[in-house]
Amino acid sequence: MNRLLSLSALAGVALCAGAAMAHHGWSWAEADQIDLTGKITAISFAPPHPTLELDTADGGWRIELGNPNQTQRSGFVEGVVAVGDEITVRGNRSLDPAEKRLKAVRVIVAGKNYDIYPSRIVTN
Amino acid sequence: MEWLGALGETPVAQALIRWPVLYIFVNAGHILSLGMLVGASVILDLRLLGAFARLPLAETLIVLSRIAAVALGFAVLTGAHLFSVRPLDYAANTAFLIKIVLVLLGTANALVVHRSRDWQAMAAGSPATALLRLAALASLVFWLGALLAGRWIGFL
Repeated sequence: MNRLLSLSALAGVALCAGAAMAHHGWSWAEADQIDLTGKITAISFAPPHPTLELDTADGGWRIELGNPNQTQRSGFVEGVVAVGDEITVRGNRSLDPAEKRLKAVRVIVAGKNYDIYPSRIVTN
Repeated sequence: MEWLGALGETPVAQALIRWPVLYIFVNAGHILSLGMLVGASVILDLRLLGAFARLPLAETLIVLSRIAAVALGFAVLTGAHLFSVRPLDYAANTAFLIKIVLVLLGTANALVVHRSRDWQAMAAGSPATALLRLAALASLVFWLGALLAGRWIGFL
């Protein structure tokens, strides 16, 4: 019973803290794409969606990549970047303007493009 | 929270991250387990509530509760593996935490019912009591709620 209670308490805390999971699909993201440049502070290739944390001039952003296979196919695999590297990502930001979260379609590392969703990339 | 982060460094978690196909198999195993668990539980609960009257009560409930128990075991096992690849993210996910609470409630409900005098009597041939029907209703809420909360994890 104690475990149950502490878990419900945890759930309560999490409700206030907000969640940080990968989002499915595109419904949560804006149609327009933006570019973000910053330093990588964390990176994870774990399924269901690899993610990285980017420290930009605008603060910390969470970048969501494709599913593991899509991300691998783009060439963006373990070892391409390391924590501390500066990169640029293009993608669709969250519909919630307060949420610093981006669904990436392209990652640019030292001038090289890694296209995760080639058909979705909007070029100006 | 440190031990949670360390879970992601275990060889099993690392293997699931390195080989996406492995993750797909474990993921499919989790879906199969929870399908069996929720499927068996829903039929069991509806039988207790009066549906499918052609099915013999005691035999049906004993078989379905065993299937549900084994399926729960596999769901927990596969679920722990899926959890291990992103422990900190899941631990901070409201839907995930609600799901865990509902799974614990559903499990506690099933264990209490199983140990109850009413269940023993039913297994020996007596009809379902009001208490068993109430527990069946609670079971439906807990397991269907857990299913919904589980699906919600990826959409927060």
